[in-house]
Amino acid sequence: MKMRIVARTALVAVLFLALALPLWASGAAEQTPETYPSGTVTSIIPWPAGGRTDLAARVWASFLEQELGVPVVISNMAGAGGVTGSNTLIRARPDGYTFGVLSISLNLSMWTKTPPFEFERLEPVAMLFSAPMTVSVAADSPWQTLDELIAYGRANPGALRHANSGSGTSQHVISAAFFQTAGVEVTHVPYGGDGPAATALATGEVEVAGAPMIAMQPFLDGGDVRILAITGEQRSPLYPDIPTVRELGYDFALESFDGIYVPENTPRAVIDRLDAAIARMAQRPDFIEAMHRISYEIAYLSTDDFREYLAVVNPQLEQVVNGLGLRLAP
Amino acid sequence: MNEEIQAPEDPGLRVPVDIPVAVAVCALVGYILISTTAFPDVEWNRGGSPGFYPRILAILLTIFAASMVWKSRRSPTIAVFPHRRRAIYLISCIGGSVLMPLVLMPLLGFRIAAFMFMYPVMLAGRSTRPTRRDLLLTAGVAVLVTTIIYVAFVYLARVRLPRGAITNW
Amino acid sequence: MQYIQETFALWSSGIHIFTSFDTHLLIFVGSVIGLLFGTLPGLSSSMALAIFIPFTFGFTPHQGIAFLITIYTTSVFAGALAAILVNIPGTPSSISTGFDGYPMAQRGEAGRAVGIATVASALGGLVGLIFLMVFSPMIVLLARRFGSWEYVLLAVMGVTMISYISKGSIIKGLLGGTLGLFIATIGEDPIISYPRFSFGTYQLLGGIDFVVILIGLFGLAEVFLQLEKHIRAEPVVQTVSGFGRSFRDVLSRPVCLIRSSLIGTVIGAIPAAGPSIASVVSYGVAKRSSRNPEEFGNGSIDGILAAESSNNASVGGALIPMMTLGIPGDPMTAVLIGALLVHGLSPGPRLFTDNPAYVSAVYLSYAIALVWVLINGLLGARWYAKLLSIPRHVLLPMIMVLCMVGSYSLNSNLFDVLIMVIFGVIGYLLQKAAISPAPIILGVVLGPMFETNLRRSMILSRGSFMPFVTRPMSLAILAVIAYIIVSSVRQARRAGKNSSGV
Repeated sequence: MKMRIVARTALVAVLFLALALPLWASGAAEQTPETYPSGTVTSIIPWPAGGRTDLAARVWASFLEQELGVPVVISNMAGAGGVTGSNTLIRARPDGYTFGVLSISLNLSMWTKTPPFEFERLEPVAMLFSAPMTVSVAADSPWQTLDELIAYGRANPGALRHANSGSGTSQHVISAAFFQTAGVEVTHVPYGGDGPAATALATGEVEVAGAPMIAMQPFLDGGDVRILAITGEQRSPLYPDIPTVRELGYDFALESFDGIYVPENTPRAVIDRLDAAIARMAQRPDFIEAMHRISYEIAYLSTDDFREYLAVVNPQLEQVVNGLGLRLAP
Repeated sequence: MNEEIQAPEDPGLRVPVDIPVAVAVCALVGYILISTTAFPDVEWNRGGSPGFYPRILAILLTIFAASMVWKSRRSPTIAVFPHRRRAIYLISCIGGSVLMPLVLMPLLGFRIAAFMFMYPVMLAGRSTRPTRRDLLLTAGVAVLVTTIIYVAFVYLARVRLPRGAITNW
Repeated sequence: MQYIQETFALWSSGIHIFTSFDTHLLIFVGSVIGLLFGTLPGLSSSMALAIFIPFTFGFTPHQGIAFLITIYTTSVFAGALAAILVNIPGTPSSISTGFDGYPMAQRGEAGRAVGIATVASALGGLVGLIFLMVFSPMIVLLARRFGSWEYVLLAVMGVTMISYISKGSIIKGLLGGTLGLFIATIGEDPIISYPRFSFGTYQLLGGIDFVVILIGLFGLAEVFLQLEKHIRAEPVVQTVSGFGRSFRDVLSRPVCLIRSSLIGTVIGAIPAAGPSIASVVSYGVAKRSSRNPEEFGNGSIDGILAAESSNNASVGGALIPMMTLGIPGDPMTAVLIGALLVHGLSPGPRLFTDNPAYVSAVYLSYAIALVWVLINGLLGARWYAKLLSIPRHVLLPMIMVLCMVGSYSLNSNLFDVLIMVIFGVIGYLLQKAAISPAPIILGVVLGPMFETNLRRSMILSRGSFMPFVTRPMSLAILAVIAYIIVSSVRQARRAGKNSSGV
């Protein structure tokens, strides 16, 4: 009886090992900058599985896989507004096999978090998406244009309740900076996410919401909200009818963006190869179409351009954070 | 009425636990009250101070801990802890569980760490002294379980389990 | 009458999708995936959906939706298996399934418990589906009235359930519940993002994930308790029961079944409330109205029935605001909306007029998934129960490793594993002090809901408490809370008169 159990267990173990060994061995190939990429590449998404960023990542990862020729696995490391996953990225092996897709929230985390996020320990690879914030109101509200809204807000300080994703998030910072420029005092109401903020606008709990287009899309399609303007430099190719705030006469342009980063000390050759693959992907029409379906605007910048952009935008962001009194870091 | 948690054979260590729990809760309350003093003050129409709600919880904790102690005069809670060999076994298991995320998994990687953790725990949990065949059998079971978990999480659920810094495995 | 006819026409418009063999194969594969993700702790329903979205790119949109809905439905059910067999709720929604399922399995009736959970899930899901198909407009009206004020009160109502879900002394239940509320405050505060009790570390800045706490307090703590007690004892002999019995167990309690399913549907339809709150509330209500409340927590059939029928009904509920308004009520429906968008469909009122076949695909695949739940659960019950006849010295280390992997895979973070182990030790010590983990976890779930919404509602009302009594919905919930408190005090007094002592 006992012998049979031994034999059976041994048999199952051997079978499993036989099945699993080739799988285990597959990850052990020699990895140098010249052979990059030669094995599975991990993309860190510092947000939970199922969020908007995650969904987008799963869509574009399937395209990047084709360009890189190796599997791209998404690893969700959520927590602390993206800081947890980004810190893991900083500490990852600098070999290009781990990269992260981080939004502007991480740039802001340099000043809005204690302990501050060490953004400088990341190496930018490319910028991929831009996401302008919207200035949205409910469809049944009296404001048809941005000027009407601003006029009302100036006349009634604090009367406009503004839904955003939470204090210090990109949604909050960009929208708050816009209303500061426009000279309107709004009451900020944190909702802990784009979705709940958009829902709050649609159900009439607040008067204004500042969420990216991505979160507004279902409500826009359903006819529940009206987008008065977006905060980007240019009009969105997805919604060419919606004006930018600058066109409407407010000296303001700031939008969220998603970039791809690797840990510091990653060899330049590896970064270039990764960047080349991303550049090829960004030009594919099927990729552009797939991303537009979920309201993602492609704004590709190569490694050097992205670096320059960051050198300009980071000091701006720091000023904005200081100006809004959101600085927590020393 | 005593609420007793009984061990089947071993009489074990009998410890009255209400007072230690109350002391631990009081320490927590102290910590909450001290840290909240550093929190900023915010008006209610701006969302209220972040320290307000934790302070209320601290007060509630004090009330409940006090009434627990008051009640325990009539019916104290006696916990039965294991002692001698069982205690050693339990404490080593807890120690192993702490070492897993701190040392074993980051250094050796999930596959080796899981085996190294399960094998001794499985062996030590046996009722009889293991024969040589048991040693082999248990090793096989440990390998099998590690493999099943690895395959289920890595290949089916596409979760990347930790790789070892030393072994890269 | 015409309304019903239109509804019927609507949901039969997609029948042709289900005449192809491919669709059924996909649904079968989906149900296996759902089972895996639901059973393994740390792998959630939303994770399963997110991971398999890219797989649907190759299918037609109809098939993709059918596949994803099946994963969703099956994974919510499968959480019950882990809860019953090893006391780790596989998904957060099955917390209260373990309250009675686990004691029942320890008694040697794991097969019966799985059977009840299966039938309850399928029937609960069916009620949810019927509501989704027929009464969506009415439920949506209700759900749209939920604002920050109502969520505050919903959380308070959840807290009143502590007395029902804690074993033993109520004082200790309240102490545990408050501890849970405190644990939830760790990390950045929800309004001004000020870091609280995080010891200056970035790991604690985002707070502690509640699934990590769940796995520690329930799973690992239970292993520690077992290690000290029974490690050398023989495994419990499991009795096997037939299919008929599972149906009889459930169908002989129609009131409990229907009430729990209704609670599940309604709470599921309220955005951000979700299946875990639905199952706790309906568990509490079932215990309140039961003739033998003392059985609850010791392997009561009504307990499993209430928990499982409500959390599966809440799937139907959660689909209501998603389908009719495009509002995601929970993380799962948020992913589903994303999946629809990827396929070029936008959920909301226009989907019903523009693409009724897709609406029908959602409904019908939900129904077929329920059939698979039934098949899986009933045929598998015997095998799942067999798991418990593995010798304990093998099973317990296995569960420990599973707890570690589960807490790791949530965020791929070893720090979470450490936190989970710490909560395992805390949970062990607290159980020694007769403080049960259920109220703690309830506190962790409800804490953020209460504080965030209270402080947010203060901003919205500019510092006034008046909306709590001037908003009709909020006033109604207040009345329910008052009724619960008054009647339980009265009940406690009556119990105190009948039997002196606790």
